[in-house]
Amino acid sequence: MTELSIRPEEIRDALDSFVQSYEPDAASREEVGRVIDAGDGIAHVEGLPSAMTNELLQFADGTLGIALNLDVADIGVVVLGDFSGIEEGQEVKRTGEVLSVPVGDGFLGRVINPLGNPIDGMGPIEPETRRALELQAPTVVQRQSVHEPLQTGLKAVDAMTPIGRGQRQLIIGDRQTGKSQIAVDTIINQKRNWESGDPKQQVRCIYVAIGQKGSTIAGIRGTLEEAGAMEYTAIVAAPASDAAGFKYLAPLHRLGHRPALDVPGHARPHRVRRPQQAGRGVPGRVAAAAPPTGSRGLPR
Amino acid sequence: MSLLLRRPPGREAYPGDVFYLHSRLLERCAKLSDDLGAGSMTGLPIIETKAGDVSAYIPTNVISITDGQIYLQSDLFNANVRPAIDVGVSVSRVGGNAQIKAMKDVAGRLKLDLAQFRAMEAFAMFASDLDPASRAQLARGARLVELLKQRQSNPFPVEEQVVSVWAGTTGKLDRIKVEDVRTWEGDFLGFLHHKYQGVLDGIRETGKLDDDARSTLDKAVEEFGKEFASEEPVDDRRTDVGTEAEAEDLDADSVDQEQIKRQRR
Repeated sequence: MTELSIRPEEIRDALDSFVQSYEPDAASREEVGRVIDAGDGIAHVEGLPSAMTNELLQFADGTLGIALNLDVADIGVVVLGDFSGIEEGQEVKRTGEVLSVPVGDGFLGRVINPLGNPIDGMGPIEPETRRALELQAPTVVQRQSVHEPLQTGLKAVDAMTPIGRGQRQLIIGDRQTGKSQIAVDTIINQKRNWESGDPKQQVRCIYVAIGQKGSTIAGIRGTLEEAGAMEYTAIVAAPASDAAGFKYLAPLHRLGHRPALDVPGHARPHRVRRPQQAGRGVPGRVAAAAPPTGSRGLPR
Repeated sequence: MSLLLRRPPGREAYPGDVFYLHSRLLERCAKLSDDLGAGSMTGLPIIETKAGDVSAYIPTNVISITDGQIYLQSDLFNANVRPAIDVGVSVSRVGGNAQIKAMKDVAGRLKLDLAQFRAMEAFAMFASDLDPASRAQLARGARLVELLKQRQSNPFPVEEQVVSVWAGTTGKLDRIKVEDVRTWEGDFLGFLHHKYQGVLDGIRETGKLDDDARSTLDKAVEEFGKEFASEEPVDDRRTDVGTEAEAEDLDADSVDQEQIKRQRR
């Protein structure tokens, strides 16, 4: 008669090792969120507890959005592109990517939207690489003082208020006083530097038009082309008709766009922003494009 | 967008972090150190003001973030000063470091002359009689203002700018009519390109305006003055009012005067 004894330790050990070695199926785990509400280019999404700030989220119809507001229960998402297809209850997925834009010299001479897609009907652009949109500014150690001139070609500016490479010079004035013209003249004046072929001299220009009329942008492009300046200029356009999200992205875009900073040479952005588009104050601003007779209250 | 995201609005309904947004954006403009390739990124943000009000919320914010501003005025624009830059309010905090030496040399005087002109201009509106020195300053200022005007999409290479400003501040234009200043400038630069290209090349390559170049330019202005005057003789005569030599009386017998004789019938 064989002895049959039950040793509880053995059984416990066997169970323990079984539990510990258990691995869930290879089935991928995915967080899924749901749209609570959508409107005016903004959607609120619940779920997605591990979403990051500025992460790209994808809606059911393929439209992308950026997670800007991470609240306790929901996420405020800025929809990039057409938001008419987004409805309450739709699923939203994470992409795991922080918003980045394609960059490279291939963009020179082109007109693109803030996502880096060409909108001038001249075919696709081959980017060299992608760069994150929100990068840290160079640190103190990485900088040096501004000492080289950036010639604008305007006597009044170059003689009285010179601009150096790396400087930030505000152009301010009422409407119709020639603000953009100063920027455009400066771009045109870089032609000789560009033709010199010396990468230390060359300046790449980026003209960012935020909330401007499509016709104005086309006009500027025409002027630059006529002067032969489009060769080294890219235009980032977020016309007035674009979604609020695009106008928000446009100024950031040009900053992602600086491959030239990694090699000797200069990227030289122009940013056109009007007060009503400044920052995210698109709706409900006081300094709106409203009639000058009075300020509007908050829209609700 | 901030409001749609239900963030509480800040001053004037702008987002509460609007200053941070702008400074974050503009802080990324930089001149990198030599170790990192010495690349640079320049930013020219543009802001539209309402009725010339630079003390509004966003303009003051961005003025404080940037290294200077170019202020354009609609009054000047309408007075046909284009580009309509108000040189009194416009500043560049980087200043002379960002200029080539030749420009630094000539521009110092320009600023001084224009500042004096502005002070004098306001004063001259009420006083009709002015001493010659003040009148000379006014004349100089008017010509400098004229000299700084520029057509759009017509940038000047730096060596031409240096020569123009030099001519203006050394008084070479004082005898040219104000309306003709820009014609003179254009023609003179053309003349230089034609005959004294070496001076222009020198300024561009060395970035300096040395004594040799100055004397060559002096000579060129003199030489060109004759041509310009002969092209438009009206010019000199008008600006030279009062300097013409006194005319002498003619000899009596050189005048063939007819005598009126009474005829008898």
